[in-house]
Amino acid sequence: MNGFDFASIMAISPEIALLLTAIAVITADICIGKAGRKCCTAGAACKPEETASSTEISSIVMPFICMTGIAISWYFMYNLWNLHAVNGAKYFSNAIVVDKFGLIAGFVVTVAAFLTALSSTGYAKRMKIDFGEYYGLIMLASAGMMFLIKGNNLIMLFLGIELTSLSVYALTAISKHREESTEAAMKYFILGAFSSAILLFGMAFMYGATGSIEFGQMNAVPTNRFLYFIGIGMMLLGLAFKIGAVPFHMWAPDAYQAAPSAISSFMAVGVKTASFAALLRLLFTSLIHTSHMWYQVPWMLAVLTVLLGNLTAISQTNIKRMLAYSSIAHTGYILIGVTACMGVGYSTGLTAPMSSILFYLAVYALMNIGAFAITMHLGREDKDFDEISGYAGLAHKKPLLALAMAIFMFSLAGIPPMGGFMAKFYIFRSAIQNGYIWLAIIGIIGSIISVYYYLRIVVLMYMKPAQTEEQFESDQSQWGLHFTLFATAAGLLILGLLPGDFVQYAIVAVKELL
Amino acid sequence: MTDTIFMVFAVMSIASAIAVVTWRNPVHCVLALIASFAGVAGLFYLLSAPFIAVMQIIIYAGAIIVLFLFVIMLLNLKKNEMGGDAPVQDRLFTVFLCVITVIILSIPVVATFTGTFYDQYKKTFPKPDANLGITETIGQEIFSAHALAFELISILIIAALIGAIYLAKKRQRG
Amino acid sequence: MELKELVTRFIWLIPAAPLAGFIINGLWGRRFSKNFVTLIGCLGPFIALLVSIAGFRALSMIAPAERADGIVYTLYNWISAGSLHVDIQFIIDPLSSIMLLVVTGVGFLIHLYSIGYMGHDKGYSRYFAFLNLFMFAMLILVLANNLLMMFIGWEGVGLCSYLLIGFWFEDNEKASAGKKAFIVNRIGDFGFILAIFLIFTSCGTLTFSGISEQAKTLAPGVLTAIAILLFVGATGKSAQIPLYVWLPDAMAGPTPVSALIHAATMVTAGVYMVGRMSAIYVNSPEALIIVSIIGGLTALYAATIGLVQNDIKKVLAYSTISQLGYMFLGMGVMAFSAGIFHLVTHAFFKALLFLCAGSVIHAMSGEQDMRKMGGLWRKIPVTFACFVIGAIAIAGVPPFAGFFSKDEILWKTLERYETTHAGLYAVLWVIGLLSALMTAFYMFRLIAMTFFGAPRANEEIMHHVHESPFSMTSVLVTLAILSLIGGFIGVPHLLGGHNWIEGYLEPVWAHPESAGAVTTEAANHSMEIINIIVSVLAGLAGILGALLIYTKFTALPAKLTESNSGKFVHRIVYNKYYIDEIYNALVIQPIKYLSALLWLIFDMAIIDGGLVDLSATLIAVFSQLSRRIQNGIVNNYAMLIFIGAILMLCFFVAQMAA
Repeated sequence: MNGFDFASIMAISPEIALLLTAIAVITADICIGKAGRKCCTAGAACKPEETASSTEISSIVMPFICMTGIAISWYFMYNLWNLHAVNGAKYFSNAIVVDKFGLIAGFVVTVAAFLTALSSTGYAKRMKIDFGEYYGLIMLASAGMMFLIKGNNLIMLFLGIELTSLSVYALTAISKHREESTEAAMKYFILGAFSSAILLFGMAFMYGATGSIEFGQMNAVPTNRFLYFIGIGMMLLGLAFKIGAVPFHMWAPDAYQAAPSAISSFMAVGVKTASFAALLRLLFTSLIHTSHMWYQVPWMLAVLTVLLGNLTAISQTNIKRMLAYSSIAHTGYILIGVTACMGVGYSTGLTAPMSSILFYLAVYALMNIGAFAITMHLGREDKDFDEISGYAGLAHKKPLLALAMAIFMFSLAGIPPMGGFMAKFYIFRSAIQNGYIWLAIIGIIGSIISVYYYLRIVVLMYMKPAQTEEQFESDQSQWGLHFTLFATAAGLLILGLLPGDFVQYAIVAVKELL
Repeated sequence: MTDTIFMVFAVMSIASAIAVVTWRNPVHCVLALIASFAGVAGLFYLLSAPFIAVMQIIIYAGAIIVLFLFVIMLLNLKKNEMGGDAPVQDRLFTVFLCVITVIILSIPVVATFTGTFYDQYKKTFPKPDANLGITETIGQEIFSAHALAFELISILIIAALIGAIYLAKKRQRG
Repeated sequence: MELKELVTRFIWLIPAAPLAGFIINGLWGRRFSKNFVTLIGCLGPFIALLVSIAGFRALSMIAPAERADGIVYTLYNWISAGSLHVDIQFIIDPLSSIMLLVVTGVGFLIHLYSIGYMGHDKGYSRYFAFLNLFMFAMLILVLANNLLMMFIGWEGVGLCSYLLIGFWFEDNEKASAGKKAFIVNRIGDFGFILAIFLIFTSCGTLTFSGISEQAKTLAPGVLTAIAILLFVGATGKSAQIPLYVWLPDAMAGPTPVSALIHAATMVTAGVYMVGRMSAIYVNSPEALIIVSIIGGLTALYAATIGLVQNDIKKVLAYSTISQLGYMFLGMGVMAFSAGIFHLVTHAFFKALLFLCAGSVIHAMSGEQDMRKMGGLWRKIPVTFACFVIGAIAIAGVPPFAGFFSKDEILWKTLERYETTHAGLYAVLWVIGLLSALMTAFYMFRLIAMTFFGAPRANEEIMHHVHESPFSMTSVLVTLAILSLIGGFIGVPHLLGGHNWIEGYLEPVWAHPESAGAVTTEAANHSMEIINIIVSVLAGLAGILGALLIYTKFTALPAKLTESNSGKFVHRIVYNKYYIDEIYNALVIQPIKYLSALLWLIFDMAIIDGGLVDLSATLIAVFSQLSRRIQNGIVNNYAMLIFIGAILMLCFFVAQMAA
């Protein structure tokens, strides 16, 4: 279907819902802001309380608009999921494909956005962030991710990446008064533009080699294998940057550390999930048939990423930076899954690794959001609680919070019965099944190293005394964060103890893609 | 004839691109960049893509370069504020990397247009349609096949605008 | 809606209700008022009881032939990894429905009893939370439709048992009793896990119906290995030789816990599991013989120890071990129905006996030594009456519950006398009879020492002796009634009944390929009558003997123990044959030394010194190095990306040539 008929509009209805929410948020910001300013310009009537109360209102209203919008987009996704005729159907001259794979990945991304909005209820105000742009950009970025996931040609892939990236660049610098924020955003932007250029270059080569930009059409034997391989190389590089694979990961630690924690987790989760989904879609619709010739590249990337990510994480003293390296390491584990799909060609052998990647992404989303939410919860004034040594004695002052943090750390380290364990188990198992035993061993070594720095925090929390008395006093209402923490911790336990159904969903979704 | 024109444009774009990164005076660099863009535009024209050639001139040589000039003038950096030169070995290393990149990227091009491969390639690869690059075709494509992408670009620009304005404006709330 | 559909839809409530109680009381119990904790704590088991009754009713409305398939409800697709596919699936079939009624019924009663018994404990809400958690785990174990789920329940009850034995963890001895139970059970669980692996690799499935289908096709060696490994698990959980040592120590927990977990429900899990796995056992005669021998020996052995113990709860503990041995004897002679029947009646009367003992201890201000009791029957008449009913039931005097079930097991053992291994079964029958005699004897020794004679406690304690509150005695009376009439569900045909329970459970059991030799009806009848008469006589003899010796000829026991040979025997038996000491010398100490040695060589020298320190240093060095690269200068980052890009592209260029 080519035009903007009803079915096509319904196919992108979740994205439309998100975009309209972005507009609604920005409009609402202008209205509330105007109301606040009006009382200021009225001279005598300008009372600080009134401005404060308008801030108070918008700090609650804005995230609620976002969450409503996301809920509406979930409704549309649910509709699409149930429309069996729609699955795998393509719209807008094959620019968009609606399938269960995309819907699941999109669900993970929107859950991340939802939890980000939810946890920002008190947080954005405390961090002195302007709500309109903040929530608007979050919504725009989510819409970009959704397009990235659903895109079925190289143009949509590129536009999705750019919409996501541009919003995230700005979000990184969202707390403007902090200099390091702006600096990190600038670095991220420059390097991101650099990698986007390479990606685009690769796409041009790809088009030259195959004569098509549409996924599924590029999988014929390339007319020009010289251009084809250079094209693959450059596109891989561009995507490797977005997912933060070593050696293209350098932006991540700086950006994660400098951005407000809510954004760090949104970046770590949303961008990565969407980019991986796009990478998988690209690989398995278009590139898989030559992958036996270049699976060594993701293999090397996976090894480097797992080892370097984990090794560097050990010597960090800042927890957000540590989590950044840990998220790089997790990219490595997922890359192991990606590699496991390659070299085996079209066969049933692809279902297990691909579904395990999908499952991993869902688990990864929960544990990262949870861990970053802890740094938000404990932070004061306009800072996040990011010194690792500061966590000493947390368990004695705030046992529930420490318990949640322990759950996240155990899950990140991959210790049963948390979701992280099942996720790693599935990934490594699929790697072994497809003959990449050494890769699995390296992954396991990496995750053994990672136990050290994750458990260090648990040890600090439970076995060391607190440094000062009032260290863990936080000063704003936190119900949004409480809910986020509860939801993520419970989700991790459920995914760890009862993974069966979720894996089945992932398998159903993946089978449709193959 | 075409070959001669091609050579002129090609040399022009490459030489001025080298000038952009080697010259010291920023304003000169920007002017060299215009020349480079103009050369690329000429190459596009030769590849029977007149629309893109014109866009290249209007957007890059026109809008972006003017923006660059404004920024340079507004910053008005003195020589010592621009930072010193990198050490010689670093510069040599960079040159080395650039040369390798050029070699790598030229390998597929050279391989495509030489040897037995080229003969086969000419047979299988269809000759491009002469009308492919003209404005009318592009317009029709954009508003039919790539309508969604076109819409998405507008959203992209909104996102970029919001981000840029937010970073540029002063804080309102304390 | 039909009852069956309704039950199917709500099976999940059976484990979920106690779980909800655990969560609520566990998280917020300390903030609630005591009454609310009580309400929440008892509501869960009560709901489970109601649903279980409904399930039983629904099942009995199904035609007997189809009952074996049971009512099955799949809650969740739990694990699907490759060929391993496990569902969270509940089943109510005749076996589990009986077990459910016992667990929820007795469990609920004991919850009620605990209200009074634990009323003054400061860990009141914690106690109810654990008790509910135990109910949850036990019900999962019972309702499970596959081995893995059963194993989860199995481990769950083990954990709760550990938590509740060590409930008063401030007391070091009690905490270590909990640990002992935990460790000994681990040994059994190890066997169970191996059995699960073996079943999965050989059958390819873990569901009970799947295993039953596959069992016949397995190689005899594998089958026997599975059966024996499963039985190792059962000996751990159900306190059989050689892993029984934890159960007497487990009496450190609160008495209602002893009644619920260590008498009525958890310890019978092994019997239940063997019943569930009947398909494996009937096809492995060797394993059956082992089960029956271990069961018979345990019955006799524990009974002898029970004869000389002075702690009221220890007597009951050894009695439990002995009765569990009886059940396994029944399982071993393929009298599965009789084994489960004895499980049911035992749950009634042993829970009753324990709770009565609890009431006695309660009255005696915590005293457990029978030598310091005596003459209590006037002061606590209800407890006394109930205790006597329980004791008669366990002694096997008709028409009390224990008579029918115990008689059934003895009879089935004797019946096997006609088949192969005649001598073995004859010996087992004699052993069973002997232990029945001893059981009657030590139970009435207990009664005589506790309730009759002159009070041996000091004035002050005797002054405080009082009957327990109504909430406790009402439970005692209820259980006493059950002990009285519980046996009527299995009155043998010979006595004019129609052995309902045997017919009800029959569809569940697997049958051996070749049925044993069928003996003539007439011979059977006369044998059965002889069996009944002899076993009743044994019970009565034990009762009379104990009453005479411990009320009339009180000097006799002392005389016996002071005679030379008597002294020697008494000391050995009183010290439980020194088994704890033997285990300590033969198993625990060597392991300790070995582990110390390994610790020195491997841990300290090789692992700590070599691997850990070295790798830690190496990692730290690498970590610092890679951190150095990340120096915050964006040019360097770009350069690194550039180098990475070139390397990658070089690879692809190399591939072009290929």
